[in-house]
Amino acid sequence: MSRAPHLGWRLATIFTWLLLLFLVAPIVMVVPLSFSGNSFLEFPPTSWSTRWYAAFAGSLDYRQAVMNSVIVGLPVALLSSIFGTLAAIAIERGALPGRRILAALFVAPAIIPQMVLAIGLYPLMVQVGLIGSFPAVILGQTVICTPLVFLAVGAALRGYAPSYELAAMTLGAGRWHTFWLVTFPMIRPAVVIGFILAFTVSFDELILAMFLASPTTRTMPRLLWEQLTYEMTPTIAAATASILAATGVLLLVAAWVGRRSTVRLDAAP
Amino acid sequence: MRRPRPWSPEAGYRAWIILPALFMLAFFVIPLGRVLFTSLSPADGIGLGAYQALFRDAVFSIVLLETLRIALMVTLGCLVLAYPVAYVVAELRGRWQRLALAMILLPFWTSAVIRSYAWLVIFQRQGPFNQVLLGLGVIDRPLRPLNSGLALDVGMLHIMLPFMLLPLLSAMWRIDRRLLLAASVLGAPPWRQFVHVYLRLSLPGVAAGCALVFITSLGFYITPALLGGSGTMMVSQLIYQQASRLLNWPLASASGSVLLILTSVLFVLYQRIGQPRTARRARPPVAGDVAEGRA
Amino acid sequence: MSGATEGASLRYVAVAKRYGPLTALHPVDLSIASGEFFAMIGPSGSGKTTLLGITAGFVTPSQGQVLVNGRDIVGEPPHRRAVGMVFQNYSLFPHMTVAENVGFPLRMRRVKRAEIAARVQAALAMVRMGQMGDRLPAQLSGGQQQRVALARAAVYRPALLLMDEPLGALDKNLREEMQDEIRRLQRELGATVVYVTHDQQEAATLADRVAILRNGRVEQVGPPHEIYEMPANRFVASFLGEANLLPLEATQGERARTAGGLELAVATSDAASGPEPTLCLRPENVRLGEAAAGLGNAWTATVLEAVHIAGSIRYRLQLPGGTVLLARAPARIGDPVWQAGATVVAGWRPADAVILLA
Ligand SMILES: Nc1ncnc2c1ncn2[C@@H]1O[C@H](COP(=O)(O)OP(=O)(O)O)[C@@H](O)[C@H]1O
Ligand SMILES: [Mg+2]
Repeated sequence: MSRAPHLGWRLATIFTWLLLLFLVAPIVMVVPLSFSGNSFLEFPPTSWSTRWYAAFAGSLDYRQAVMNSVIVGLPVALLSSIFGTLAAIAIERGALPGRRILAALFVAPAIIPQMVLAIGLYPLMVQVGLIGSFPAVILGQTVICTPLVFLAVGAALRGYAPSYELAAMTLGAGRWHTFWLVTFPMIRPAVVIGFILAFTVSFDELILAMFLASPTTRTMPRLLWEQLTYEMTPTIAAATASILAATGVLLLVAAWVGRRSTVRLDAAP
Repeated sequence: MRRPRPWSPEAGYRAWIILPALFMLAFFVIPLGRVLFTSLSPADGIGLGAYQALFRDAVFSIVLLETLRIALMVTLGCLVLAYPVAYVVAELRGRWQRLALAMILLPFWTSAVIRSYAWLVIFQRQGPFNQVLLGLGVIDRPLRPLNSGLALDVGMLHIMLPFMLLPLLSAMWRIDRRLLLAASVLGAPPWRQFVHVYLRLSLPGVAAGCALVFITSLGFYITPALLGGSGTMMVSQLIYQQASRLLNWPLASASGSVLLILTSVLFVLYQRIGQPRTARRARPPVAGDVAEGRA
Repeated sequence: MSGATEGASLRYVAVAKRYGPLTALHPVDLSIASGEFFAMIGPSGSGKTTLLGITAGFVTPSQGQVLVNGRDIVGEPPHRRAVGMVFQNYSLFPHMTVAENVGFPLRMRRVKRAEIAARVQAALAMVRMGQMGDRLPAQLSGGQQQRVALARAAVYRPALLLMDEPLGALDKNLREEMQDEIRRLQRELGATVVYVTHDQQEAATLADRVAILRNGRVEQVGPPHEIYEMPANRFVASFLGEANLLPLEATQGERARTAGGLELAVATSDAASGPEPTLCLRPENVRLGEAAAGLGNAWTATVLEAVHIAGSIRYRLQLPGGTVLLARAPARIGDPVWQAGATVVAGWRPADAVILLA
């Protein structure tokens, strides 16, 4: 569509790019900050160095927190992918009674305030003796990550007619073969995207980790949070920039997978 | 004539819900039920004691009203800022649109901790915010935006904008531009085309964006804890304080229940009336449709 | 591929389907012989897909039996039914090549690899797609996808082949070409075919017998020409080809009067027994000009409109009293042609019109 360079349109375009700049600038600002040579946070930095990265990489606390985040994030992503996919298939293909309520149940954890879930999970985990352990954090975060996979896979399932599965069945495939040879290949991009998003969200999650983890199982966001509240050195900036880079890579992978499917990144909330 | 358990394609898929549903029951429904239950049973038997205590003390009411106010302001602010931006981005093509989209998605998937941290740096006493204003001569003494609520407003807007932009965009992308042409052929001047066609058709996105932003804002913890200074407190912060500092679980649960019920009601309302009729399906897709690819 | 299979016989006994308060299918009784090409036609929503879904096993009937070679298959899952099905959207698996698609049913039946390759090649050759085995479905045209879908449904030689509007997505020329192909394939395979379409011409071209459905009921069953000549009611008459339907007000002996006031000669006299007796006259049975003079029914009519349609001329005529009549005459060179506004004698033999009782 060609449009005359209307004044209103020009103003709107300028406003748009300013707002988009407003969205990314604070995040991008963390990168120069992390290369600061100063010992406390100053922007723009007056000198440059990589010592905060050295401090970050050399810190036992940070190293362990990154490890913990991965130890938590991978199972969370895997479990969320399994639960989200199973639920999406059952709800989209099962003609379940009360499917609207069930669907709401699998979206709700993404909406309900995490603080409320946290004060509900904490006594439960104490009771079953899991509090402070990795399983406690993993189970808790899986609850809030399952909706991401559920939404992505649900959209993928609505994206093609169920006749593909019925065709497989008339051709002699039982349920098992129908799932692995037809359904799963059709929804695989959505499952992969859901997996990556779930991992990213787990990697960033603070509140459940605050309640359910212990000092030995604390994840990266929790460590950052603890650091933020008493010591504001550029080490945090280096850590933050590293997380940003990792997140960026994961999202690029997700976008690349998504390019080949009908599922979009913004299918998730 | 009834046959026992006739085979049907749907029946087999039904069982797949069992595992995820049990998981959600154990780690979502039961914990939330427990919050409600705990709120009703302070030491001396079932009752509304915790709620009475909660509302007797003015703090909770103040915090709740403040939370609602902030959520409302953030929602309106996001809508006003995001609508024109989404409109422009939906019109962009190719490379520019991809760039704009990346600029929306980057903050969308960056953790709230990191983004709040960035704003904390910006709004420090010696931070870029004060430096720029001092440099421009707008002010002659550094401001303290962290205590005035300004930092919180900006930070929340920044965090919630993508949640408004993305639903708006997906609704606007779905608008068939030929409808605008049709309207103009039928004699509608541009502003009427916009109001009667574009605006109307983008309303589902507006509803989705507002619901998402408002409901999410109600539960915010990280941003107000970091940027709110000493002046403001939101409900999640109060819950945290009641639970982990005061160890008063009935009180924390009562606060949590109020927040839970509020968000649930809004969520259900949105699901009921917020979603446009076209997005709802009259009946589940079933084998009947199927053979013709109608689903 | 060689050697035709023995087609299955199919019988529906009081098969019905209800969705809550909505009845998609009223009890249906039909018998389809082994090797028969049977078509079901009807407007959208008449229950065709539902009946096919019941036969394939996607839809559980609310009541009734589906007998294949005399055995009730209701409750059996689709993958045990050995029924082949072609879908309107083809439903070729997008992530598998053409050869993998066609080989899929053989793989499910644990056929050996080498044999799969040979049978896939033969099936593809049969639909003239022998060179396309390595392509992905997305790289094929609509007609080619249709051929692959046929090959996939036929490769394991099911005794019963179901097709739900298989040509609905193709344009007219391709449709006619594929009709020939389907007919040829059915003869080679020897399978019984149940074919759903909403195109009456397609049904008439392909089928040995046709069932006409409306609102979940079977209105009439029979060979296409028989239904065309002797429709059971006004719906069938107007659904299958064009028809002049003249409501009759009074009949006496071999005379009748239409609601429009025309006094007619009719062939039979038992018309009065129906609730709404109607005269059904096919446009091609209306004769014009000299040919009409002296017939049992003949009037001077005004030509309202004359339209050339591939090989024939379709006239809209107005009879005395205002009755409008459609007539079709072959457009042979040298034959007289009447233009709009002209007057012409129009008539028909009483034996060429049928009286419908409903
Ligand atoms: N799963 C279903 N739930 C409710 N109604 C259905 C379902 N499948 C089909 N119907 C209804 O049954 C009737 C017959 O449908 P169908 O067999 O698809 O007709 P056709 O194939 O002749 O167009 C229609 O009114 C349709 O809306
Ligand atoms: Mg149909």
